[in-house]
Amino acid sequence: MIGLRDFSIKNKLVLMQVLTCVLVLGLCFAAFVITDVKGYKDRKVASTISFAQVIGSNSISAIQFLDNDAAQKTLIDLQEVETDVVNASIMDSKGSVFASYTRPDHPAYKFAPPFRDQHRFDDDYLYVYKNFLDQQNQVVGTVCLQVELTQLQAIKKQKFEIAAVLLFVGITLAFLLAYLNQRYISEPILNLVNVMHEIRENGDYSRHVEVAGRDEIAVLSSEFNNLMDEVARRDQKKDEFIGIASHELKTPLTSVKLYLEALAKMKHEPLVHNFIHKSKEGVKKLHNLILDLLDVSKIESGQLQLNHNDLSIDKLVDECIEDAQMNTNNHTILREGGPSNTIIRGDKDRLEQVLINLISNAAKYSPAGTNIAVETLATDEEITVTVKDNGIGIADSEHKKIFGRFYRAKDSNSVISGFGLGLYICSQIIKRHKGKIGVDSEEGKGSTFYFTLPLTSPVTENQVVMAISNNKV
Amino acid sequence: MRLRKFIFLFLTSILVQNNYASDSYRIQVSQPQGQEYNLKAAFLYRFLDYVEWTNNSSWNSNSEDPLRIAILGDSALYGPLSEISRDKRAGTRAIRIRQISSVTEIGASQVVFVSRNYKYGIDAVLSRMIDRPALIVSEQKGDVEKGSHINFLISDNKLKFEVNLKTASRSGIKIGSQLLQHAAVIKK
Repeated sequence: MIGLRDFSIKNKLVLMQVLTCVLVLGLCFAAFVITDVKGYKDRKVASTISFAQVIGSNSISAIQFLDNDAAQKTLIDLQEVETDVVNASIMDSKGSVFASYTRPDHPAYKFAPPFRDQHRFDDDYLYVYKNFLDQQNQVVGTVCLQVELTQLQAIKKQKFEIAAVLLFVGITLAFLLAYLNQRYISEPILNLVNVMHEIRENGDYSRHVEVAGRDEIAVLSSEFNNLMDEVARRDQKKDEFIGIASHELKTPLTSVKLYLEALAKMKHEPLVHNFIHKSKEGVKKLHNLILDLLDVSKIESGQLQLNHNDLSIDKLVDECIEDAQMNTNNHTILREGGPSNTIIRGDKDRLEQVLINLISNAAKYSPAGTNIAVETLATDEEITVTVKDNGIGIADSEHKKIFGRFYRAKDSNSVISGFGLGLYICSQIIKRHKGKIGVDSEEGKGSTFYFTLPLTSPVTENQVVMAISNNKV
Repeated sequence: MRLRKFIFLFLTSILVQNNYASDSYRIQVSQPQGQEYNLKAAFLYRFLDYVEWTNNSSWNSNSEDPLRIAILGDSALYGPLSEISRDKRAGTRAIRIRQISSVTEIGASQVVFVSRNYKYGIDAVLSRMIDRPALIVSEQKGDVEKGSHINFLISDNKLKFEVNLKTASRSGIKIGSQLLQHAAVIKK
């Protein structure tokens, strides 16, 4: 069953308007038909009563002198005038039939007492009883008439036909008007929904909805804009906080790190040496996390500066593999395919950061003893670097999300630590190199991360800024 | 089959007649004299509504004067007519009934009813009453030809009446058209 709630607002509006129209028109027509039928009945009663009066006054002497034939003739003569009369009887003062007439095409009807002034309707007929008086105001007899209501059926039929036609026209017009009208309501709502959807997809809180008019939807839109302003403000505050906090943490941590390194170079008892080594490991992790936070903060505030130079992609890849292999004992990192012999323009440190991040992620999410393969693939226009593992894989639905900020895989446990910033930073670095980053993966079947860099010398934001400022000068 | 249908139709027509024709009146007429005179009294009383006495200005000008009816000769009409006159009036006038045995007693009566028991018959009345403003009502066959204004007769077991307009108008009696339309015969 389809509930009213499942209807769209558009359909609800149209339905509501059409229903209202049907209701109002229906009531109007009911009143119209009832008044008409009542009017017809009233007129019929009045005319029949006066007709009965004429018969009565013409029959006084007939009853007085027991002249049935004369009374009969009166009935027949007058019936010719009022052809709707199907049965007519004149009763004497004792209630016996004095004269009667039945239209030839109609069955006879026996009028029942009491014979006093009255009228009543049944489905097809009007019955009128009318007493008539003599000169002394004594009741001489009663004229009883049974009148066919042929016109009533015709009137009803005609009214219902008119009602049906007008109802149809009314509903059609109501539907058209409602259909045109609803756009003023449902369109802004749909627009609002679209903007919300976009904001959710892009995380661009500065996006505003157009506010038109002063109705409730305009209020809603404007409130939504205010809400987004508030969200954007808080987001910015959070970024500022992360920037400040990470910066403040970095300075003392750097000195702690340096002292520990110095300590590590000294001679100690094995236990102390072990403690120092553990501390160094911990501080290194902490340092990396803070560096990530700092990077994010720089990215968000647009202060991530790239230092572009010509560099060999083969050399970059080999150095990264070497570095990464030093940090992992459980996995073997292999270079697959031949060298690409390609020189690109980019920030060496940042690109190394991306590649190392991808390799260490691969190591983090794949079982010990497996291989991690790095491959470069060059075309005329671009070079693609892939990092392939045999790990747990990533579900399709997550593919887009993993490059977002603070994203961590759903089933990540405490063993796999981190802020979930690595891939976000990678994607931002690649984006600033005019490249693309992505993943091909299936749950349980390993993942292949890749990034692509254009071979034409990339134009950086810094160069653009410099170009603009040069023009100004 | 045809015979059966015929019988059925015949019986039905009798039933219908019984229902719709005025049996009651026939029965009344065919009853002994009392019933007949009840009806005659009622008719006579009704006549008063439709008759005007145009030649009697002194009586007409005084609407309190009673309307006098004389019954000439022994008649069973007296009883029922007296009954009617007791509680009914002719317009504003009271009704007085007298039983008389001679034309000399007619006096200023507005209506004279000549009983079939009056031995001298209608002629004696007419010769006496010539051009006098009284309605003469009789009940013998042929009386209306002789000059009686209204004469009762029984035909088809029903009480009817005939009217002689000529002699009536000569006597200054105007008989209303509503009464005339029920007359069996109108003599002009």
